Amino acid sequence: MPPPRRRPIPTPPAGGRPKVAGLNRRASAEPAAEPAVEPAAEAVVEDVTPEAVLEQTDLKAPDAVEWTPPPVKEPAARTKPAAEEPASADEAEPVTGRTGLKDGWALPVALLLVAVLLGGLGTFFLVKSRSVSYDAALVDSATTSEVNGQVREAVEKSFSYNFADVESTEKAARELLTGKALCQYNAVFGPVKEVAPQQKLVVTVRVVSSAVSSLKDDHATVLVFADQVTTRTTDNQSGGGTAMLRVSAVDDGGRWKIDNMEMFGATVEQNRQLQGC
Amino acid sequence: MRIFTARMILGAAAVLAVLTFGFAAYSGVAWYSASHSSESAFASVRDEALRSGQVGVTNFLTLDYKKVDEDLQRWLNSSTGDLRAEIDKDKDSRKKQLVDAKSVTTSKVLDAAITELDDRAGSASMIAVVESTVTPDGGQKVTKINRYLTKLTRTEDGWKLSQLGPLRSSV
Repeated sequence: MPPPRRRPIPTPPAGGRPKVAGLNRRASAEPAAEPAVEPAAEAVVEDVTPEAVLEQTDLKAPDAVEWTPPPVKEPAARTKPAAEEPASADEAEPVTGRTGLKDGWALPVALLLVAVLLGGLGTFFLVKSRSVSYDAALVDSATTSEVNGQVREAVEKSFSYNFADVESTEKAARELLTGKALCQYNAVFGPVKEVAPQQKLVVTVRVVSSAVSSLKDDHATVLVFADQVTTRTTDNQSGGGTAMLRVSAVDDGGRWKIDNMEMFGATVEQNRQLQGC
Repeated sequence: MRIFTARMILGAAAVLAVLTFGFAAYSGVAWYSASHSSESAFASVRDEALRSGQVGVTNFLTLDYKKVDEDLQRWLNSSTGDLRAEIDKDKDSRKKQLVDAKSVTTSKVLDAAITELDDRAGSASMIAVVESTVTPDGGQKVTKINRYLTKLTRTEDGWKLSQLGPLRSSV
């Protein structure tokens, strides 16, 4: 990865522990070279300080900085490492023995940069791999058919009605619907239940076709096409109708329950009642 | 002393670089395998079939008697197999029929879902709720919502309709 290496980077690695240790050691060696170097060093420091102060303060102990490190560090942080090499070599020319140390810095710094980049890249990949998601409808065929079957059953049982066995319809609605769907159910089915006893109604709902359009974790959406036959047993009059529903279901401890219903082609009145939920 | 420290730094940096390389490689492979799994491939086939099916159904249920040729061609382009053969066969009688009806139909899929998908065989079934608006020449427009069942077949140019029919009430 050549391009990343050139990035003007990350102060964190430069401010890491190892470097501070190295600098301190050099500061202690200072007296030996002092007479020869002092003027040059001071000039350099003065040139650099104004700009360098900002970043140095949060990086390391100020006393460690007084000597050659600034020229090394400063260009490194400000310009490309490649450009830094010759410049610092020139500056350090009079000071024999320092060059080796500076060469020694280039590789660790480069490695640290590479490490930081790889770390960032790895984190990016990891985040990406976590966020890879797809809708499991049909992909997870077992769950898809489970949802499909249970939603079909819930629709058929809770919307089918026999005046002679009201209890089983009510039980089904209570057990297979949840939350908002219960209110929606009452809104749609309430009127039927009111007239049912006198007219001795038998309502049979059969799901003609259904498909899971979305399945994510414990939420599913199912498109349901149903037919309804209503028979008035008092005079044996029958009527039929079709319904198209978009049903959403939640996994409630192993049982998929309907928690919302939308009707396509519902009457104005039905829509008004559904919206009241 | 100095050199020893530099070596330690170098060593630490090298170890760090190797470790982060391992980390990056591992998570890169994890990302690749997650996004190239057979599951996500199947999911995208499903989405592609669904999308093509919706477009196809819309195409088939959209018609303007003033540009029947164009519409019929679009029907042919969206279909394959039996459905295409059928349209192609009685193209002329169908055309006359459509022109005589003098109506404009526009449709929109309100919702659709794939009921079955066989990736290997390249076949799928889809159900759709479609809202169609029919406007007779000089007449009042009528909007209806219908349900359809369609079969899809994968061709070289993507998924196409091989069957399309209303899901009539069985009662």
